Amino acid sequence: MKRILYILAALLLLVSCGEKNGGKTELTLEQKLCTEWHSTFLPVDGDIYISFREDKTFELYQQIGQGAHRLYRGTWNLEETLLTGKYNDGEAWAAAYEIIINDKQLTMTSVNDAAEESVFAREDIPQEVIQTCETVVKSH
Amino acid sequence: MKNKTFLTFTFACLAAASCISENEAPVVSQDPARDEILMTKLTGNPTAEHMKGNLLVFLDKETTLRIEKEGIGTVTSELFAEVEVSDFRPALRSPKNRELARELGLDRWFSVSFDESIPVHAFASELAKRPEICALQFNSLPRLASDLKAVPFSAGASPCAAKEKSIPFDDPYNGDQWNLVNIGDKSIAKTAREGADVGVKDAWTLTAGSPDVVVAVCDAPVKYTHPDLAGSMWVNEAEKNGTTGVDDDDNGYVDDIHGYNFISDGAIRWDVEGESGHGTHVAGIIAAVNGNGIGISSIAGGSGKGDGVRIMNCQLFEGPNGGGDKEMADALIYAADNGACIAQCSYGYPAYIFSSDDNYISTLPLEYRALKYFTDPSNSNHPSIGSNLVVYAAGNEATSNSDYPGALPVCVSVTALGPDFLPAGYTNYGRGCNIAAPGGDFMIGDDLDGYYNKCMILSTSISETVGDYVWMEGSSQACPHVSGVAALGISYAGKLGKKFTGDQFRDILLTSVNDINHLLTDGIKPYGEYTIGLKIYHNRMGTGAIDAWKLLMQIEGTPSVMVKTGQMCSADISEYFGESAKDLTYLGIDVRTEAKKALGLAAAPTVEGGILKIYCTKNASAKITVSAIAGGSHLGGGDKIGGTEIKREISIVSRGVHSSNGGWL
Repeated sequence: MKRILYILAALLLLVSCGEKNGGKTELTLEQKLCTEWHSTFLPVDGDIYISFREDKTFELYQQIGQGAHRLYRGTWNLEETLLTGKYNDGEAWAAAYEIIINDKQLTMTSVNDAAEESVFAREDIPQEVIQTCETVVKSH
Repeated sequence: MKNKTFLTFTFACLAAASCISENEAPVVSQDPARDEILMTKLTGNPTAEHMKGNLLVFLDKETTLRIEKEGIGTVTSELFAEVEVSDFRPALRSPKNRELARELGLDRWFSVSFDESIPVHAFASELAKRPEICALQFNSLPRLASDLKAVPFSAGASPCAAKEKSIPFDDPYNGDQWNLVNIGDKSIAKTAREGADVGVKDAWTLTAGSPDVVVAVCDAPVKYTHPDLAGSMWVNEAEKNGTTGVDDDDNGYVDDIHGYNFISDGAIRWDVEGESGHGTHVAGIIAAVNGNGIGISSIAGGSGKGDGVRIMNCQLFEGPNGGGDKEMADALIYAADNGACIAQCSYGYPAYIFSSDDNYISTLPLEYRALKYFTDPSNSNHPSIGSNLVVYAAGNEATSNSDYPGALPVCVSVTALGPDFLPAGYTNYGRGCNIAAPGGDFMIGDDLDGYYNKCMILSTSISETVGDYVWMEGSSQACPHVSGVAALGISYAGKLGKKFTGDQFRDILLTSVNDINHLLTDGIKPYGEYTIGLKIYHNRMGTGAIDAWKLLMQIEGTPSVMVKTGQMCSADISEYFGESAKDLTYLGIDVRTEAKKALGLAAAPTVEGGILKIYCTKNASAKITVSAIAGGSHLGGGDKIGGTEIKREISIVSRGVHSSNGGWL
């Protein structure tokens, strides 16, 4: 009887560990990317929010220097770990980026220039930023 | 012969005047043809209209000190032993900032009154013999920058009354205020242009004013009981709650509840025959109460919650009578001492009177010093602006100079536009003019339908003389548009907790503009039975047309200019210098050593046609300062009339990654 209880306990432990480690299916990199991000490190002073959406569109709210955030829209594409994109005005991103997503942190490194590394944390875009941003006309 | 003598005399006076240093008495300039003593001391311009029976004298320090110690009586009897004077007193009341007043020599100016039948020149000759008197100045009379034509507004008489409301306040007449929101209504004029306004509609979503911003309307009386203005008046609570006839707040002025009447030395009054309503009209453009369900809307008249900017009235004209240089100076000092951060001045001396900044400064030293007093940082009256702002009308002589004192670099001089975004036929332009704004242009209207008045500016006025609401036009009307937008800007800076030096604020004001130069090419504009060529105005109306939204955006801050490291980059700097950036004359770029090192500049950056060219070799961000001229192609100052230097600090971000549309990725 004691032995049966040990076996049951062991089974329960296994079940609970299984749920902890992936009761849900492991997310792909693309799925992990599809959320809202806020810059925690940029090569220059600035403040950036990016929303990558499942329909392969993005919204970029950037404040470099002073003034309200500026909104750029466009589309993105991910091949393995290489992220590329295009603004809605037709201009391609200035670089392609190698991305790494660890836990709730996104690191984007330009393939052209390793010094161009930006780090983002998972964070909702504040309503204030959305409401007060200036849309960059060219990228509509 | 007579003419020759007159010309010699005039020339000598101007020569004498031009020799006067900024803060000291005139220096000697001799002309054997005239009374030598008078020539060395006279600072007024005898060709300008001046007050009879009155002179301003500048005493030496010793005599001024004696007056302080012994009182004015003893000195008066000594000074005027040979002549009869009816009054002798300090030209200015006691300025609060005594140290600055002394530094500027304001304490040494005195006013002498005498029998009006005695020619001022003759009297000045006599006084000039006294060694204690270092200088004498005619009390020159400026004039309002308007033809004072006021056309009563008739509610419901215009087709605009029924058109779609484009202003978000329930003030019934605001459909006729193209100056605030111009939808290109052809019933105003066939050439009316959409957007030819002050760009305030969107700005109102951010601020519609703030009661801690006080604008001194130095002008004819402001009817402070007007139902559309009463709620916007500055109130001196001590006087309001004090005793009539008593200087309750001990500021030297009795019963100055909403300002002061510098002409009749007492309460503001608008019941004098011949009153034009000019001051009330100007005040309404700035701060008629918004959203009160009556009359008109205004630039900074609040959001309907009593939160607009406040109007202080320094009354300098009373019916047909106007004050002189002394009264103008007194008013500026009153405004500074009692809380105004903007002096709105739609008057001036005609452009042909003065030949240069130096000429003005030496001819009317008292007023110039009062301007310095008002704009000195120690007299700043709002925490968001390091020194007060002075805005003047450019004048209506249709000449290629601004009136003075607006032409001075310390002032902002405003030219006038019609609803077609083109220069009004009357406006001055060119040298000394800094920025343009709606002033109305009666002559472009389509008078066939009888609605031609609508090309003018609708604002408040005086029911007792001309009506509660009237149409007027002039650079007098353009000027309060810039004052109103500036007041809105200071309100917004206060709301955001931002602080600017006086120069910084003036520079962003002068670069918050829409381009009009593209309209000022080879074309012509109809002007009554005539036409006006437009090319003559190209780049001569100031930096462009004032835009309230752009000012608020610049107050929020301007994004960095992003360039790519390792290559020559061209960057548009119109966000910093306004839409007319391409037409400005640039004076240079200041790059500090640290910035040069940080950005690894391969060569000195250059700027031309509104494009900054810069070659950075390092990824970094740093600031550079670009200087340009606001108004024309050369600077004023000294022996010239010209534009004002504006400086903008531009943040440069140099990265290895660069998108031409400015996007980060």
